[in-house]
Amino acid sequence: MVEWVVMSDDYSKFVKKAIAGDKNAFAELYNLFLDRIYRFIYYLVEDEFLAEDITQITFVKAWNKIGMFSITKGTFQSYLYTIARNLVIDHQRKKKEISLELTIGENFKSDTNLEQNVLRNESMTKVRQSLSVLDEDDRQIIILRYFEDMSFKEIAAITSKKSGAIRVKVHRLLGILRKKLEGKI
Amino acid sequence: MNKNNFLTDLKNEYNKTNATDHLKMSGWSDIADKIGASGPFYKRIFMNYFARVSLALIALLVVFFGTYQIALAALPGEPFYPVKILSEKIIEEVNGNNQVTIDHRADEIIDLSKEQEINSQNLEQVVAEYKENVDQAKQDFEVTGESSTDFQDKLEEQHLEFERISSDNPEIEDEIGDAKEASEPEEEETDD
Repeated sequence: MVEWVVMSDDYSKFVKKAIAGDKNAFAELYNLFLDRIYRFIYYLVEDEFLAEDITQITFVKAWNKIGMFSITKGTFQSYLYTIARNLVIDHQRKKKEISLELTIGENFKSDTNLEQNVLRNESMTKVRQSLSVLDEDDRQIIILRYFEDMSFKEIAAITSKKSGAIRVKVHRLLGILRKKLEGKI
Repeated sequence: MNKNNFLTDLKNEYNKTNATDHLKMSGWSDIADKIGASGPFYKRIFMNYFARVSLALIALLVVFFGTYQIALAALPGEPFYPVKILSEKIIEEVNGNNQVTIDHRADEIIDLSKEQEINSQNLEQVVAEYKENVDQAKQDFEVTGESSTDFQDKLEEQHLEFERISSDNPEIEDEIGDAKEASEPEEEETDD
């Protein structure tokens, strides 16, 4: 299995350089976090094209506001996930306003390899179905805690909630997920 | 099923979702176009000489007008009062009259009379300056022969205000006596 957790020491030098205005260092950070940010967004919006757009905007915003990021106040990954989460929330708010209906069937146009797409589709469906019992806020918490291996403190920083409240919520959400797996929901 | 196995399986499936081919191939170049060849926005601002000078000027103007606004509300003995006096001198030089100074002294007389513990010394000093400036202005109007209608109207307003505050607070009647006298409307000369 690929080690998905990027250790902070591995990329802190890139973060420091990016803060100093080094675009190449930011490109390294982009490559390190692209998959993680993309999939986080994808499982919230459930639309591939939209996830692509929001991912790109997340990185552009991260670059433009990097002067406001401080290594001492939080991790770079919290900073990125906070931007991504806020963009998703903005999008969902607008979506509600204009009642835009997005169809999952249109999700797989961009990839060319059909076999790869089918496998990919199966995984995505499995995860989506399991997470579908949770609302968007709860999905974020489960993804960040168990799929992105973040600490309660980091999740609290990203979701603007208290660490203790996240801990309690995670316990409750696990119960819901377990019931779903056992076919009780 | 074990809770951890369930989450591990789900995590494995989750991690199979990677960024699209499009993002992997051209994602960064799209971003590089958007963020430009130079540093982040906040750095670009500070690297541009014109922007730097403009920001410095804006900061100076903000500080200047902030200080001026605070000074306008200052009363004798307060730290910003000398700034107010300096600004009056500049305005006097620019306008060629002391109308602003008269207005400020009149406002100060009113403000000082509203204080819980009235500082008689300050009040007397402000009243003296008010009288001095009003006399000076009257003298100037006489010399230049300019119409003083607006000035007289303003003095009348100030006089009414002084009357009001002295009736509200009879204790300051003596202190502001000179101000009331100086602002008293001049009687029109008749041929009788």
